[in-house]
Amino acid sequence: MIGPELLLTIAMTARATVSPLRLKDYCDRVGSYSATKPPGRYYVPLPKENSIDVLLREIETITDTQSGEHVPSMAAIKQSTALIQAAGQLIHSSPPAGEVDFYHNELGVEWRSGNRILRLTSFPAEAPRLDYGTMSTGTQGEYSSDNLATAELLAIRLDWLSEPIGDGSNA
Amino acid sequence: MPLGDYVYRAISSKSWINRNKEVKDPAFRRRWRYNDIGEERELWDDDGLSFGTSPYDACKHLKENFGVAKLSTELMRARGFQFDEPSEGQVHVTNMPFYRHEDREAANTKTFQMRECVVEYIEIDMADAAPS
Repeated sequence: MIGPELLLTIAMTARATVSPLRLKDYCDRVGSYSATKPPGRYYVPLPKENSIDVLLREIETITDTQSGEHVPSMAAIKQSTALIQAAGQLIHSSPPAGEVDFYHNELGVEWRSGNRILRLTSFPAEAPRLDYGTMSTGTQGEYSSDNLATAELLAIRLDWLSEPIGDGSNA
Repeated sequence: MPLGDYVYRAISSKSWINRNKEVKDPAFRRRWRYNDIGEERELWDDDGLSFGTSPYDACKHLKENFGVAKLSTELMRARGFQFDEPSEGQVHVTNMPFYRHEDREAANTKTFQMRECVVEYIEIDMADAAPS
């Protein structure tokens, strides 16, 4: 019987490197750590995957799933990945899920929180940029940008998305 | 022919729609004559950012579409967007900045403003949408 602490350590290590299926295979071999749980079910307390990890995994698969004129360049993919990874270490909040989009070799990532919007755009041969602001359907919204996106700036903008604004529109 | 209350922008990539069925920035980019590496494009948006006066007209020249964004012309005019004369089901926003390196900030700001004018995302079947 394997101890719960050891199994958790293995699971955390395995999370980044193996698929859930392989982890399941592993659990099949070692068995469930709890003798009180029925066999065939797994109670490995995997850490909850955060939105940054989910986004990075999505970006990783782009080259396998996209084709046509809007496929992003490898340079844009690498640039986005590096920035998001680094920003993920700096943020103090749990950002909303980002969504990727493609446009003629570019890779865009967009985060929305209520009326707030943040976009990271990476190019094949140009500095990445951030565009952000508060959208409005009545009067027009207010927008700004950072012409050179850095991990620090991305982290600041992601934290801004999660800040309470008092009127509940980013809830 | 006067412009109606709404215009329609064709969506040519699935990634331009988010999980909440909202239309994203790339759908509103006005292509410049040259691409990012200086090559001349076969198609570019010389006359402005094009819209259809109906969902069908927005998509009729596309091989494949992923629906249309329906925009309020009243909201667009309130944000300073200017139109040319509609012709054969097409109309252009003539003062949309080109999406190119030197105009990125202006283009992206105008794109956000244009997104504010979207009232609906509509999935269309061209066979059903064709005028009888």
